[in-house]
Amino acid sequence: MTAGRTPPVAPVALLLDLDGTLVLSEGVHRRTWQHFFDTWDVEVEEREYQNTYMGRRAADVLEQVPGPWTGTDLTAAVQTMTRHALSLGGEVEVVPGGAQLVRAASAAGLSIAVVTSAGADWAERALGPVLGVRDLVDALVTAEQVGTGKPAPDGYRRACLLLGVEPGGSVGVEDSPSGLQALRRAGVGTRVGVMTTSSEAELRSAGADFTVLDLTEPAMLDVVTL
Amino acid sequence: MTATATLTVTAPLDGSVVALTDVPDPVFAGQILGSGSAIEPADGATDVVVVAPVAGKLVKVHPHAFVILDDSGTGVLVHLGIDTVRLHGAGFTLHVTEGDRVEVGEPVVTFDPSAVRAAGMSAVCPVVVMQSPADSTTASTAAGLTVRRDQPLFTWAAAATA
Repeated sequence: MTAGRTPPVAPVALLLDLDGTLVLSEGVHRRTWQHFFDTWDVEVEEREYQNTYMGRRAADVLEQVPGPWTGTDLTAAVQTMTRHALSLGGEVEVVPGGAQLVRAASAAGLSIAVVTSAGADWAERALGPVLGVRDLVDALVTAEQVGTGKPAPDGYRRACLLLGVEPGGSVGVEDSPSGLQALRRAGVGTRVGVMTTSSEAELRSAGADFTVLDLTEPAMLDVVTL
Repeated sequence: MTATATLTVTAPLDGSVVALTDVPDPVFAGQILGSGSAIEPADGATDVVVVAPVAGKLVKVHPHAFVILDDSGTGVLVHLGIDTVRLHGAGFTLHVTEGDRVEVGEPVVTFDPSAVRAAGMSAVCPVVVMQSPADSTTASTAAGLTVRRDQPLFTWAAAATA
């Protein structure tokens, strides 16, 4: 918050992550990564997976993490992973309260953006057929649109520019530590951690102001509708 | 530093004062919506009249919560009970509509704390200066004391450092 300025009364925008926050597709992504690891015959422990791979764009991780894939054509590898994930798309579960939260925030006059490390194909499918809220999302920022993925703040900054809002007056919702770091670095004023994939302690230390078990919690609704 | 007017927020209802950080809700206790105080209605209280704690325009009116924007542009939130959005207005009677102007002490809503408690929820009522920095309000009536509506609850001065 900027001191010396009249504080805004209510948030102006709701910025949402997709995977793990609105839909429980981490199982699909985990299996997609496992398929990739198996293809390259590498072993990745669960902790390493969570710290290095989870919630990030495949292209970012594979460029930074040395492996047998280093120096190969990563574009083709990423395309294969996207196809694999889409083939498992029917197995996606929704996070309880997600669609209702989007509708309540929209009715309260907030602008809504979804910022995801996933590609546009996946995001359109999750927001449209799966959640039924695509028409309420004013800005959709997908992997293709930003230079550097989470935990870099680029995606959330771009979302605020597209919506024409100040990050400080916005509420951001994320399930992963890298996503919360992205919100914090983008200057998003209120940061909520959803404990679908990480613990409260992990989310708080990454920047969450408070945490909820899922999106049905009244605290979540209060933050966007008051 | 620039001199700024101090906002006095009066008690919107009768009860005992509770520190905001002791309210059983992470958003209020964490001062996510802002700094302030809370009031616990007396045991057995039923028809509790809740009045405006500042003068201004009602910019948000829900059965379980309302926000008044005062003339300097500061928002003050009164939330009746915790998680009470789940009651969908049952047990709350509004006396105003969104957009109305109210004076200090003017009735806004009547609610039934006993019904809230019977539904398994806390009836404690946070009163918050919206978006104010944590711990930026100063209690006029300390936690643990009883307060009557219209008596000073806390004061707030906008941070004036550029």
